[in-house]
Amino acid sequence: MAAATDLAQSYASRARAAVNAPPLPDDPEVADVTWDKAPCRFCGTGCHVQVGVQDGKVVAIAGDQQAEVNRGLLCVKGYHVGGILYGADRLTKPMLRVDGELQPIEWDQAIDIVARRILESGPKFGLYLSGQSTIPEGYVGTKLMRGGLSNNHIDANARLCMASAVTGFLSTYGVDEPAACYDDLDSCDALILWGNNPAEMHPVLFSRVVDRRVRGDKIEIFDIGTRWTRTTERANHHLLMKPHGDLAIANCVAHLLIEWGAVDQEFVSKHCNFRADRTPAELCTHDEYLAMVAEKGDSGLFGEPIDYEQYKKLISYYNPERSSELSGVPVEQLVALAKLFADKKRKITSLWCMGMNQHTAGTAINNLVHGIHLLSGHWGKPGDGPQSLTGQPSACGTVREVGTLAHALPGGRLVANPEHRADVERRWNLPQGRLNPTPGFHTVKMFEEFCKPTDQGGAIDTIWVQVTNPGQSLPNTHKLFKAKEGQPDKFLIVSEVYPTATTELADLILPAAMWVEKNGVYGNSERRTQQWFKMVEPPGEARDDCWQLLAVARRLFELGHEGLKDRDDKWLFTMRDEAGVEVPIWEWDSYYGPVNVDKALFEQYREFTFMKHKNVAPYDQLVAHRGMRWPVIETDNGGFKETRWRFVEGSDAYVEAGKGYQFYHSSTKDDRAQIWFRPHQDPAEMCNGAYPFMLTTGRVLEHWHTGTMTRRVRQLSNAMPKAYLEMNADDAREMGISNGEEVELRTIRGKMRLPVWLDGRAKPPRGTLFVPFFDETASINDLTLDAIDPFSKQPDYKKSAARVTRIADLPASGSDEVQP
Amino acid sequence: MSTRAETKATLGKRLGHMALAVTIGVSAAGFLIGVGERELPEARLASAGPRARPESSGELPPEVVDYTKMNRVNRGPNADWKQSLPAFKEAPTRFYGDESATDAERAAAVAARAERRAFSGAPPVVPHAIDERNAQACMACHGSGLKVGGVTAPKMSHHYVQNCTQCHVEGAQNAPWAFASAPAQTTFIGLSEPGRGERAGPGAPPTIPHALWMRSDCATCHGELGKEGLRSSHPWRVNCTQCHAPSRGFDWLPLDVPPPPPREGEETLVPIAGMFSP
Repeated sequence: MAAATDLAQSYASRARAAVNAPPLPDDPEVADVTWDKAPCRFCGTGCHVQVGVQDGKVVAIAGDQQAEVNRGLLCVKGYHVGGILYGADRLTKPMLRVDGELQPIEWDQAIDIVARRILESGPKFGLYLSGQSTIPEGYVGTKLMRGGLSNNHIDANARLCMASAVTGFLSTYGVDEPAACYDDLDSCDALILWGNNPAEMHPVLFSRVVDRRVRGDKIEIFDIGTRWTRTTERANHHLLMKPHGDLAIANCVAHLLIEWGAVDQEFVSKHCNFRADRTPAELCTHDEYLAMVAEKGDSGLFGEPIDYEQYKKLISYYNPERSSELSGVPVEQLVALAKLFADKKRKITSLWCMGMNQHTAGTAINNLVHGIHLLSGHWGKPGDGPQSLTGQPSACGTVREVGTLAHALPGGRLVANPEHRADVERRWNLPQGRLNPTPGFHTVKMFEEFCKPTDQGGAIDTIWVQVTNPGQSLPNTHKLFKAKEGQPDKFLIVSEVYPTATTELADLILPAAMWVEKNGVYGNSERRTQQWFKMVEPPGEARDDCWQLLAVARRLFELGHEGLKDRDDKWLFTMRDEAGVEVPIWEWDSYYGPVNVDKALFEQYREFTFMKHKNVAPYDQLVAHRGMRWPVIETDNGGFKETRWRFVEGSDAYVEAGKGYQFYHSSTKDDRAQIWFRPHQDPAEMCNGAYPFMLTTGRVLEHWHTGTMTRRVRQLSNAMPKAYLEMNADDAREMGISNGEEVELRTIRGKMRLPVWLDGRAKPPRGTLFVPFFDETASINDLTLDAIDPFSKQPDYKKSAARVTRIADLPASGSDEVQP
Repeated sequence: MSTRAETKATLGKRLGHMALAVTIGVSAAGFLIGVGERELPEARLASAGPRARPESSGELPPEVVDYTKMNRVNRGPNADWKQSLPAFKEAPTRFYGDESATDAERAAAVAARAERRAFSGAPPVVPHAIDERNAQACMACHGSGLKVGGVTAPKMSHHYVQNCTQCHVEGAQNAPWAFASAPAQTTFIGLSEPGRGERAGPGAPPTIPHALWMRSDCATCHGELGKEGLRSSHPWRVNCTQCHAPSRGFDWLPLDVPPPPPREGEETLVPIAGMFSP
């Protein structure tokens, strides 16, 4: 017995020693803990947590039972979200790099340096924000850049995660963001996961579906992906596909629906148009069409009309046999998926995230998935429709709605549209013509220009990064980030909470407050706007990102920058208390003073949300709720009602009575959605003799994105301490690689050493590799490709040709010389 | 494929040769054993003294065991477990047991709980290796709880939520690869485990000193399989809240944030029946 216990305990003691156990109760009274609500700091699901605060510190987290999203349940990251504030190496003092060394400086000096650098750089300055920026932060950022500096070089990391979903929504419905909501998960009969592993990435939503099985509900899950994952374990069908196979799969479904006469004629004839890159002069075949588009080029994001006969002819190319060959999915499985869509009685929800968005045909596959839902009429009923997920807590709320993208203005307005510019100038009280009509650089372009030496035409020389870690999250980081090193005229400003791959190369570091150390508003994947209050003080001299932007904006005003004055020569961000006295919000001591700056900014921004019918709720409503889904409509009795399904009569107040469905922002101005023809195309990088493996990347349950927060939480880092290389056991056996062995992984962009994990967390098919990207000590984005989708400009991280070599087999010298 | 076919063809030939070699070998060995000095294998090992560590690898070569003793020797990764087989029986059920736990027992139990949790109320980490992909295996032991030898698998304290590994992760990763990384350096100090519940007077039943959210089965900690110090002295009484009142002050729900008002034209949030409710 002793030995048995020992064995169990040797493991347990390892676990125990590694967890920093809370102190034992010396005082049984714990009622001095105060609880308040906040959205979780991590993914785009938008769970609400209850935050327990004791003696000015976060000490406990609980799932919020009153939150509609998560109903009291969280995932392991959410339960430990409180720990992210307390990593031992929090940044607490502004630091300036002097002769290569970071030296502490005072805030006044730091703000002055940023302001002067912006003045000096002019159009060569870029602001790089985040899907974790709060709505007020994003709003100040965009107003400062476009309204103050007439500079559109503002983009956000959400470009790397959901730009293809945005272009997909825009080109299909004429307006961004999902029409569906999470309520669908409670009533769908079938769930289709397009390159999505929600068991690890959106666990609370996945549980919302699979837990229904315990209650006797029958839900058929189709897992379309490139590996076996925890999600596959729960799926009824696993459609294991080749990279880019999703295009042929969706096209095959559309073809079979037509062939079987299963198109929802009523829905399509009333509410849909057909669309393609180009209108052919006459009825043409698939190959003729491709040749024509290759010659003429595409016609832009919104494409050109085609008729149903032409659509039918083009899509007929994707018969099951050919689609099976293109996608690698057996014919029977393609037919089974199409049969599901042909069945009018069943309710189908599609979910997707990075698998479809990080794709050089990302816009195309988004169009196709919307398309098969529209074509089959599985659209706009509870449980029946497509729903894209986001990876960041406010990719929707801040980046997409406020518009911190290079081409966007607040509330769905566009930089290139003169009416939109005039409207924004009027609302901001700016002189006419202040807004720059040319869209700025998208993320990849911005960092490409930043890394390109000035004497070679590099058009960006200063970037201010807030709330994100491009040094690890950009693709091909050798080219797009690390090349900055050794260029003394390039200046990188980073607002951060911990040392990261980005602060490694920073010239100025601004310590930031995070999550419940500040007020904030986020917007999740289902159009839900969520508010929280500051609960604890940030450590040391760390301060809000929003305050940092405002302080710089004030310093620019003091330095005489004309752009920071409105038409009445007042500072752009002037705020007054109830008595009408101006509050110096640029001074830290006054920031949490008589004015709730977050509320004032949010209410100002709210005015922008009505044009595209994305009406967010008033701040005070958000205080009282666990988020509300826009459009939030004021009712006759002064209440506010949220919207669950957009464009659907009875749910969306903007749909005219009797219409049933109305796509009131349709790009064709006829209240119709677009069903696109999008051909199959090969990935940007294909395997070859020298690089025979397809390398894909992604997340794991325990870590969130680049791991800067979760790797500092002991329970999470103990469970998943290090990046690994996942490969198929048969590939490993043939190469003589054993489980746990360290190997060299190489693409044409770089190489690194990683331990191989066989039959571990997930299992790839032969020829496929997977590496998670959370580990800064083995940052896989050194190796990933930076090819982008032509419309969304989102990079495709997930298909790099790679090679694996045993360490023993590496050439003794000159291994760096190997070329593809 | 062609190489595999070739291999099969040559295999037959090779087997013939091997059979011949074995026959000759056995005869020769039998002859030598017959004429040689009889010595037991273990005596030979003992006389060889402690084995030297091979320089190339850090591992000892496997110990050679006589075939006649093979079935009595514990080998392999589960050797220790086999050795304690006599102790592998269910602990006796203690009805009408101790009056109540001592302070020291209770403190030890609370300390043991705290060691697997970031704070009071956090999902505990898993102190053993898990199946990386299939969480359904958890239910084999944790579905109704289990005590074998000195090891307890606590019963789930909440109703079945399918994706166990969504909340419970390994306390230390058990993958076959080595971890160079040191534990995360943190200053986070979690909420302490609660003290005892209040009693109105001597002999009165104590109130419940903790929240009930996700803890709908009291027997998980206070039942037969619970830790010494937390066990109930009267486990046969199963309607716990008949006598032990929950204390609102310990509940997670904040009192200052009002619940959302019902929305016009839409149903209010209805919790999923039976899922979490205590």
